[in-house]
Amino acid sequence: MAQEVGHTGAGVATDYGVTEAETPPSKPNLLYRFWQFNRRWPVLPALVLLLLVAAAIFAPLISPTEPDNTAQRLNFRNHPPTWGRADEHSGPEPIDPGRDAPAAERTAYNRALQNWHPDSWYIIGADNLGRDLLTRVTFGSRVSLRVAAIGLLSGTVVGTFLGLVAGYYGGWVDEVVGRFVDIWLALPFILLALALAVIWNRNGWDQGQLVLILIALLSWTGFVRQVRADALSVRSRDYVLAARIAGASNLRILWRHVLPGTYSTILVVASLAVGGLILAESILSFLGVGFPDPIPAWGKSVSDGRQFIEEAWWITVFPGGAIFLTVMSFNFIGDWLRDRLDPRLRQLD
Amino acid sequence: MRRFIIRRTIFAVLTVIVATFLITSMSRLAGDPILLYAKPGGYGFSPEQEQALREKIGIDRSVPIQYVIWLGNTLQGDLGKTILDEKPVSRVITERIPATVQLSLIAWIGATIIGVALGVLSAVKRGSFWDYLGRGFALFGQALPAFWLGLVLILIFAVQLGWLPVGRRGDGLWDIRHWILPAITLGWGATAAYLRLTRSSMLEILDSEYIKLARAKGVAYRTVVFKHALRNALIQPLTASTLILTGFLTGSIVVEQIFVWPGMGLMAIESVNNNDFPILQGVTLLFTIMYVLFIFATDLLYAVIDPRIRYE
Repeated sequence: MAQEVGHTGAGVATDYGVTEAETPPSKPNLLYRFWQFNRRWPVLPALVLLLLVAAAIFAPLISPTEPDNTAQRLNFRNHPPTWGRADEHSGPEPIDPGRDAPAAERTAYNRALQNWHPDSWYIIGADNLGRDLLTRVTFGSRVSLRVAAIGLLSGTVVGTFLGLVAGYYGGWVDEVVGRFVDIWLALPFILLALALAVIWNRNGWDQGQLVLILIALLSWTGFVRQVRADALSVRSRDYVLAARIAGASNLRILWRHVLPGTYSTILVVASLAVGGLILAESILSFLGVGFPDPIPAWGKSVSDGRQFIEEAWWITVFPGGAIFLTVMSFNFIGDWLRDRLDPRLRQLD
Repeated sequence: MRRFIIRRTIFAVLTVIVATFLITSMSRLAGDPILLYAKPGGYGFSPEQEQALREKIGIDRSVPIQYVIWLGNTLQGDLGKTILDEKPVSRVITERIPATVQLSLIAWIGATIIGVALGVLSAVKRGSFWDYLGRGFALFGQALPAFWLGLVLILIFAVQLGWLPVGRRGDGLWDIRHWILPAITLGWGATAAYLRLTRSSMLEILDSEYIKLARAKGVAYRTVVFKHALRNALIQPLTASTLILTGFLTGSIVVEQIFVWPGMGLMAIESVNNNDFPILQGVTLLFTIMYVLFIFATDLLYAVIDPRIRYE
């Protein structure tokens, strides 16, 4: 057990040798360097997120087919991945239109055409309806980003407002907000979501809106506590007192003096919440409370693939991998931002 | 302390009422339960019969009144009967409890042991292979969607390798082959959470003054780590553990759905799909009561373990 290590390496001068400062192993291994580099400059997660945003923006340009039913061919349902190389289905020889070909030849040609697809299709396979999975995953990034954006927007606005008010006024306002959050967290969310989905279905309302509403309902609680703590500490600062002496109204103090003091906290909480929101959307989609069918969402693809897992693992694995990579990257960036901006929330690493 | 208990009790009652009232009104909005029997105005189904049926199920009055009646009956221990097959709700639910409790407890114990052990190892041997394993796992574990992990595990161990069966509870507690995959799926994320918590609080404590003092006094390193540091570092994961267990008990819906595990979560989904609202009300009641009780227990546990914490 390593102990009594002096300050040999790059570690910060910390203690009397009980915790080992982060001294690199005598031969700095690749793993160590890689981790440290990414901790300092999270290039890899940033790249993943960049790719995600690019995929969302340029989805129609970069995906091989159309996302919905137009390019769908049931012939190719559960088609395995071609990994980009030419498939065994080579295209049929076209019939010279000037020649009067016999009917049998035409039939054979049409049949061959039906069993043929361009090489750019099905790079990572087809789903259970013969739709190109790569296209679905690419377009699915739009859904995830939309969910993240809506959830963060509403969560930030509502959560920050409640947190500010609770922390600044204190007293019974604080009590009411706090209990409200507690009750909210105690509600069996998935059950309520499932019940709401039935109501939505029955009235023929847009399921996509329901998802966004549910995500918005989920996202705000995380902000309240942290923003409240910030507001609590800011409100007794001298500059707030000075503003009050100068005759500023409560509203003005909140808006001009307390709110700016919470910006970094809001940013950190938001960046740490994104991953959770995307995950929540995928769980809802998986349970059938997702965007309605032609819209490609990752969680829904995973759920579609569930019953075909024995013959077509790719339907489940690739969209799930996309969720995993995205959420992990967001979490990593969130950790990084927290370490940079908010030492109070910092977890030792 | 007494004020604290009183406040907590009021909060608990309020929470339970809000949750059950919400689910009652929602299930009524979700469709007419009478449709499970017959179509109003359908063949051989007279308005009188319909009225009688509504009275029998208890949906002949407005929703708030229905709710009050339900609450009154519940307080007397009568949760009503299911709509679909007219069994007592309490029996239907208690039949499902063992499966969920079994799975939750296994996942909980496993996650606690593995997560805390890896966390301690990761903090004590900071910068070592174990530390990177721990950090990597913490990162992976929280980003991995449970439903996906479950399906991938099925794909590998049941479909490809054919080692494990899928989709039944098996017989009894010792039928490891049946519960191992669901338990891993359920416990995975929590293990990562434990690891993170333990690791950061252990690092924080190892860096504190009293540990330095103990070391300066000449107490052996091993003793300092396991007696002085670990005991204090365990406060956080220990208190979190009650919340994690509640999460398992009330939130295993997804895992039960994937592995067709016959627990309360699966029953809840079925009852939503059937609009069998008495079950839904019962489950909601049970889930919220469990939740508030565990929260309460957590706060008490906190005060018991950490003498610095006192409730006014």
